[in-house]
Amino acid sequence: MLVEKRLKNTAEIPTSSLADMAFLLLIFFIVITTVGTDKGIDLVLPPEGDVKEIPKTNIMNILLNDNGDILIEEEPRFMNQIKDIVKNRIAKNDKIIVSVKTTRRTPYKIFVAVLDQLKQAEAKKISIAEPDK
Amino acid sequence: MKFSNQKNKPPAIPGASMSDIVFTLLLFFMVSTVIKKFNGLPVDTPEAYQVEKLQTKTHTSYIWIDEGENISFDDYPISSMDEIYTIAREKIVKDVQLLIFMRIDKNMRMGVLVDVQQELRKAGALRVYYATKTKASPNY
Repeated sequence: MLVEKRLKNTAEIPTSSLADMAFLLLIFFIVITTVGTDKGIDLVLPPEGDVKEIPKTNIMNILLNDNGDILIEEEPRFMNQIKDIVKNRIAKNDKIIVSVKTTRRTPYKIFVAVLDQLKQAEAKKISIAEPDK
Repeated sequence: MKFSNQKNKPPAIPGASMSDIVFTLLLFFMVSTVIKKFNGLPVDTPEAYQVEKLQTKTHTSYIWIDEGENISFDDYPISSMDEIYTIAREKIVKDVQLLIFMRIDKNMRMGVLVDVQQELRKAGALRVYYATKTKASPNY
């Protein structure tokens, strides 16, 4: 009759520590999760071999030389002027494409600063021209 | 005397559903975690004001270019520009939404970037991000 008695005991899995285990796993995942801190300036490159004819009136040229000097429409400008100039041009003509042309020796820092100014001026159409070889 | 009866009972927080809540949180964190396998090159990025937060990490590939013109594409060191095309092509075929996040040192010049972008354009990976730090004032 001993056997019968044992069979009557229902088998139970202890669940009191379940929450503790789940907490440990939870803490592990919280710790290794990196919160999205990647920030930057976005840009869409033109596809390869995509040459479009654009009327000259819709293009605004920004040239950057080796020293990081800025030339907008044939006139030398300072970095903090770009925003207002571009804003004015967009207000006059919303089809305007801002073309940024650099040389191979232009500092990357200057290029990013110019893009930053263009983004602040809410320029949507930004094109990066290839440097002359 | 009903009131005194109720007062005598010790207050208790129901603990039965705690594990369910914890499991839900756990699932959320497990699903949203992307485990990184690499750390790239030491790079000091330039500063900008009008920055955007990267929306997705699952569709992002990273390119590092440090001061010594060493290039790393995800965790793979690049020795010739053709490799960038090959890797980018492979990735864009697998994931059309691919974003290239470029961490480039602020003391670099445009030459290398132009070459890298040329390869990305050939491969059809057109959406790029230039990594920046956020700065407080909008002026240069």
